[in-house]
Amino acid sequence: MAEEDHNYYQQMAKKPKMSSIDEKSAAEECYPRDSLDRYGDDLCEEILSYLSLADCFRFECVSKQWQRSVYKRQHNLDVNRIFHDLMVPNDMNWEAFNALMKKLPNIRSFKMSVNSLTTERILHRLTAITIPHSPSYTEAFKPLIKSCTKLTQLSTFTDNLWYRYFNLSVLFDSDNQLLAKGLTHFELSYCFAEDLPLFKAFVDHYRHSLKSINISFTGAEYSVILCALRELSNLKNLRNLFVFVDTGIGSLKSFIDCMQRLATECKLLKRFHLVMSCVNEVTMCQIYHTMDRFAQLRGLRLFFENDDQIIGDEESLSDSSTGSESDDNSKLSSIDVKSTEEECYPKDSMDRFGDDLCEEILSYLSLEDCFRFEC
Amino acid sequence: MNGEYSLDTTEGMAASGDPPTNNAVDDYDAEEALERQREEENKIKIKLKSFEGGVYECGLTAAKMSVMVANMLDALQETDLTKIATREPIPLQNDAVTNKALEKIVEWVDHHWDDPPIDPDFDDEKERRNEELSHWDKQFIDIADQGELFDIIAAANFMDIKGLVEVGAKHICNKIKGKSCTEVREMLKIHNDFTPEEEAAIHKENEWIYAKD
Repeated sequence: MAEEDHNYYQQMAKKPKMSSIDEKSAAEECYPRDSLDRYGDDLCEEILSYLSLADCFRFECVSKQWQRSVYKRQHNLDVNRIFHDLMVPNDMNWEAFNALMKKLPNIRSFKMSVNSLTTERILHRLTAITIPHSPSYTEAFKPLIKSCTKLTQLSTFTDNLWYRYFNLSVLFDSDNQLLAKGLTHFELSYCFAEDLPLFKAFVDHYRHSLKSINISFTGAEYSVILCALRELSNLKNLRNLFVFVDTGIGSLKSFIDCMQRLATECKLLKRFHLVMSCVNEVTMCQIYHTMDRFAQLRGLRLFFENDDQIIGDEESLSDSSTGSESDDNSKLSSIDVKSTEEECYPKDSMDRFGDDLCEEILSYLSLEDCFRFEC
Repeated sequence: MNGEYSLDTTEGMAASGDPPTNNAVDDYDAEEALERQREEENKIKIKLKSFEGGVYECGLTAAKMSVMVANMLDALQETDLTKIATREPIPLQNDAVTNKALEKIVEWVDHHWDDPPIDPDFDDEKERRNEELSHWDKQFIDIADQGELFDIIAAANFMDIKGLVEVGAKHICNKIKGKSCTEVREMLKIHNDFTPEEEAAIHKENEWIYAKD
């Protein structure tokens, strides 16, 4: 501090004490009142969090404090918007992408479109993929599944009324060999008796590893449903289960049996969401009572429908103190998934890219995954 | 929201004091009752004391926009709210809370006290972050003396008034948006503590981004 500046610094304000993080505060440094330097890192981060990512890059070199702060509160990354033409065409700029990942330690959700020319290079890094529901996308994606070595979650954009998911065949090649082996979450449409052998193979492989499954029996016959449900109870590690049944159930007793079997076999089940239509009140009550048997359940949602009339709705289990909460505050990642999907839908103008080579692939990375991403 | 409009409504309601309408649904009634209570409480004036010793009066509901003040009031465990008004002024022990800053802060909370509370379940944070400041807020925060502006933001942060910190942060970001680093440093009087080599290294690292523009 030069002496001639002395007058200027008379109006100095001490650095506010709320900066708990700032390691300099012990040094009793003083800053002019009208300089942003007087703020601690926390307030600085707060202010800079309103900047666009593009501005963040430019301002990184303003000062060391800014370099520390500028990326801290950036949680969402829309790769399409940042990279514009850099990413979408053939050459994915990996160097740039890796640099970006290093800079943004707190990214929670991440969104990008990839066409097939780049997909092969990116696929092995993704842990979660969401594909719009349409046979052409699924078909285009299928040959690529094998290269998704880190894939753990495969889901689809669903339209909430019909619960259309993947056909099981998407996971199997022409020789009925399973293509993706490391899944923890899958979404499945199960309609026909012919699906059973594949489903058996699927369950066989995932007996101890699958944690979450959505299964939709749109228009399936009752016997088909029963077989599948019995098979389902072999997934011992299941934490989260969603079942959608839109045809009536034949014999109540067999259905209850299935539920009881699920309850005894899938001991770890924490969240269960059951949607059924064409169910009368008596059936509903009986099904509801079987739910007592799920010992570990933290969140339960039942939805029964009878000729457009809703009889049952959300219920929360009382056997745990966190019952109702855990349903609403399901883990951050799953909330993230939902909201990003919704956001994505209107922007879903992949038609722009012309053909079925285009896929919208979303990956939702937790912080941990981000780091994995770097290598 | 327009400043005069809200002022008019508060005064109008306070003057007339109609009984609540009866033919509304329960939810609506409860909501209205709460609003009325907030309104009544805001007529109770409490005193806030700045770091420099200046004392400013402020409506109770408005003052509670500061989480810090609200917590302090809660700690008093005073059931008779009117007694709060006669208490000693609440001291705000942070050097950023100057007379001028506190005066402005009181002006801000007095204008915003009847804002609907943020509903964490439904409020889309992203949307709110991107929303432009209201005309009133823009005029409010457009302060020529940068030292004072920084005082206000630091004081609002100290008093934990999220809305005001947001206004300040958006204001600053709006000003520096699209500017160069040198301009930003000059404007916010930030000392460049990078060596030329370090700065060059960052530039090199980010080259691909600049190339895009």
